[in-house]
Amino acid sequence: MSISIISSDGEPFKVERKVAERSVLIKNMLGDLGNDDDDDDESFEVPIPNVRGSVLQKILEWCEHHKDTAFPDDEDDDSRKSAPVEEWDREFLRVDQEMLYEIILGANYLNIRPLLDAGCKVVAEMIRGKTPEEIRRTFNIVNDFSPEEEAAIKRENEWAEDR
Amino acid sequence: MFSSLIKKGRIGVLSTKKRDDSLSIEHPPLSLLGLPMELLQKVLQNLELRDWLTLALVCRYLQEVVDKYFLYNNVRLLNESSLRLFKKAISRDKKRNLLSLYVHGIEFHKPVKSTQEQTSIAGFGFSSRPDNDSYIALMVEVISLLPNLSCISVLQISPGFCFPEWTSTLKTYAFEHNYYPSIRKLTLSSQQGWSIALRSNLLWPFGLIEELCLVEMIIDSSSLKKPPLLTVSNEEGPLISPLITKNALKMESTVTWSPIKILSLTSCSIANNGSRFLAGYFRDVHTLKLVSMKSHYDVLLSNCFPNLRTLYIDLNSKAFSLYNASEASVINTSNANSNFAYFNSQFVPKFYLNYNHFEEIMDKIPVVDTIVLTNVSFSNVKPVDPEDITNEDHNIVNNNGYVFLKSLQRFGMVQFILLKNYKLHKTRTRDEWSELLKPCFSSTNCVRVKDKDGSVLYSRNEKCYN
Repeated sequence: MSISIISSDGEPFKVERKVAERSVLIKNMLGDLGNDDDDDDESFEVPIPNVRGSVLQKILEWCEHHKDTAFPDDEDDDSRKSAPVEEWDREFLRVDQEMLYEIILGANYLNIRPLLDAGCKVVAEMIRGKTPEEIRRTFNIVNDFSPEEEAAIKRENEWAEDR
Repeated sequence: MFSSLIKKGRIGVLSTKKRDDSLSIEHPPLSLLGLPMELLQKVLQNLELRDWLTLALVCRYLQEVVDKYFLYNNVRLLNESSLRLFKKAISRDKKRNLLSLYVHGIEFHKPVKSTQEQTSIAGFGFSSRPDNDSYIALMVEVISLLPNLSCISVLQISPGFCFPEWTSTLKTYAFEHNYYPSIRKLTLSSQQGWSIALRSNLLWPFGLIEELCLVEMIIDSSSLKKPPLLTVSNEEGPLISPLITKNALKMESTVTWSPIKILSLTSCSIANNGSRFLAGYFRDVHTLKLVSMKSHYDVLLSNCFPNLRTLYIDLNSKAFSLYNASEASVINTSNANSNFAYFNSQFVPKFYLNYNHFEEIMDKIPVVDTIVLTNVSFSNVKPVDPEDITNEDHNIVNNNGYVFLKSLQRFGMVQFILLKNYKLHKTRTRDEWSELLKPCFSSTNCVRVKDKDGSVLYSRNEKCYN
């Protein structure tokens, strides 16, 4: 059985069932169909109305690479900080910011936890250790504080600073 | 987790609506600020305090997100001056100040004891005048300003520290204003190098507590002797208002107990004369967590809780590493297979090395519904039935491992939480886990292995518990 995933702009992607099932969303959809038909010619179409073709292609590339990776089932959310991003994933996510957000949104929609986690960690690393001005530049954010307000926030949060 | 965070954030006593509207300002969809709140939080939770402080200065939107879900969600006050600054922060411009609504957890490190002379705590309702600027007064005031607070930690308590009786004003305040701070979890720990005895005057300002965590503390006979001074329950439920407590005081004979349901003891000592009060006092405790035990006899404490259903035992406790040099040298010369130094070099957890010394004690654990073994490692342990003397892996560690696992058969649910993150563990397939843990399987029991972060690595018969 092969799966044809249709992107929001109508592009079909033919993949093995195993690859498609990296997405828990698709896995659950296929789960209802049962596994009993041995008919190899049969093909299922899965429309994904929220993800563009170019993003879907990228996400499926990740699924293909990780089709045999054993990710632990996450039960608690505490696993968040600990594990560093795998080298292959880091390289894979070396894309422009818009694409990165699209991958994150897509992984969230398709429910691919490990990809979502890796994406969020990569964005966090773009923030870590920077000054406010550097963060504004990196993410194209407009400073909407007056100098007085900025000083007030610093005062307000003074209790948390390491002294 | 995120949805619950968001929910919690909105249960404020005051309406947070106005500020929430500003949180939904339009940002370009494919930008950091355009990410849905849930995903933005997921990004930011990978960062630390230092970065959150910086983010609060980037723009209004990020400031609100960071304040609400990170900076003020769990507040750590490392010393007296941070307490003072924090109080200022939450009491500045009261009408528009929403910071106090964001706080769900607070940690007071190194609390400063009251310099006032101690008046007797035997009486109730007499209040020596509080010094409004003392650490304790500020602390109580801060707590009363945080309506959504659910976890309080008072850490590194120094000898002689206590809450003077006027701090029960927190209760009076609550009674008069008809709301009661529902402190779900209270953690107390001793200053490093000390073990402070638990006293009612360390608990009484906090009212109803569901979970009590004690770290490096002592429970002795005086700890639990005067239950009327603590928040207590009886058949009709918790006695929370000061009036009822006063009546309860008069009825000294009335049987009362603590409403605490979960008790966690980390490196605590129970003085012999303290244990006999446990059963009466902690009558409602259904979960006991024994962490970093100092003596393996502490396992026996599990018998002191009449309604215990879940028991946690830390296998990496010092208590289980009896290893001492004289013992090692004796065994060293005899049999290479029981050579302690050898097993040490193989990173075999000392628990299995010594298990035969405390097997008898472990067998006295009552049959609770769920036993959770924490800080577990199976490095170079391969359970072998001691009867199976022809097995090439027959040695003291593997035999102990087998006997230990076998003793777990009697529990309906057995859970192992591993010592380190799964990345550092030998990865095992489902079959390898089954093979390793087989001795603890009964026909019906559930067995589950998790790594330290909560990811499930293996589970068996799980369905029957869901």
